[in-house]
Amino acid sequence: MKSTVKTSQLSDEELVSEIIKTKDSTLFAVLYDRYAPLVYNKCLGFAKSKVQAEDLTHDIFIKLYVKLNSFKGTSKFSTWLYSFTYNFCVNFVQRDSYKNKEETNEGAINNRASVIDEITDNDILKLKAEKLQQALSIIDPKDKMILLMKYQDDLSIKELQTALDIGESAVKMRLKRAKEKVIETYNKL
Amino acid sequence: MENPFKKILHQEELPKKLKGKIMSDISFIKLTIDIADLLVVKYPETIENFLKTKEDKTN
Repeated sequence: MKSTVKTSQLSDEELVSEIIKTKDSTLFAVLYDRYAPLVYNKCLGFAKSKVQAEDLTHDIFIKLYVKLNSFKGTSKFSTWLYSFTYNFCVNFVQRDSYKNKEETNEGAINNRASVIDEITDNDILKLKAEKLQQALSIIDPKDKMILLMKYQDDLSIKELQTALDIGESAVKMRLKRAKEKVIETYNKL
Repeated sequence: MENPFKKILHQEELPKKLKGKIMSDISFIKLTIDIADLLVVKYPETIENFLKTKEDKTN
């Protein structure tokens, strides 16, 4: 009983370092209880059905257990887990459809570049939820990922930098492109 | 202004049976890692120490 009280009081980072040290599966269960609903609901945003989302959640937690030691504590654990989950989901979505999308996107980028001016956060927040969801399912999952991280999980540019392991200007550029793509797709709907 | 990204976030409840499945898979992985560690690292170490003579150990 004493140990359960203790583990529930541990911070995420302490819990993770304990799991890495001991490989204890009961400690991992505590981590699962904290984050599984969040991961599952993120997966629902990428999967086509609930069953698929369950499978994704299952695979993510198995991979998480094996790869937990790659968490170095440079960012908050939740931020790291977000990017871990998104990357897994993006890979899952891209597995089938990557080639087709790449071909169609290239043409679109060239046509678009000059047409759209700078998109502000207000423009994005004005969008209707239902249509936005549709647009997000059409655009490249990598763009969807960065938009969700920014606007749904409220990660700052700095957190995005560490989560995606890219520089500040690269984050801003990817965000800008993703916004352009989602607005363009949204307007076509 | 209400953030549409927050609205599209799913709020479904996680199926309870999933935890059991994941934890049993995790236990199996842990068992595999432990057995591999035993056979590949610990046993050879023990045998090596067992076969070492006193002179070897001091060197």
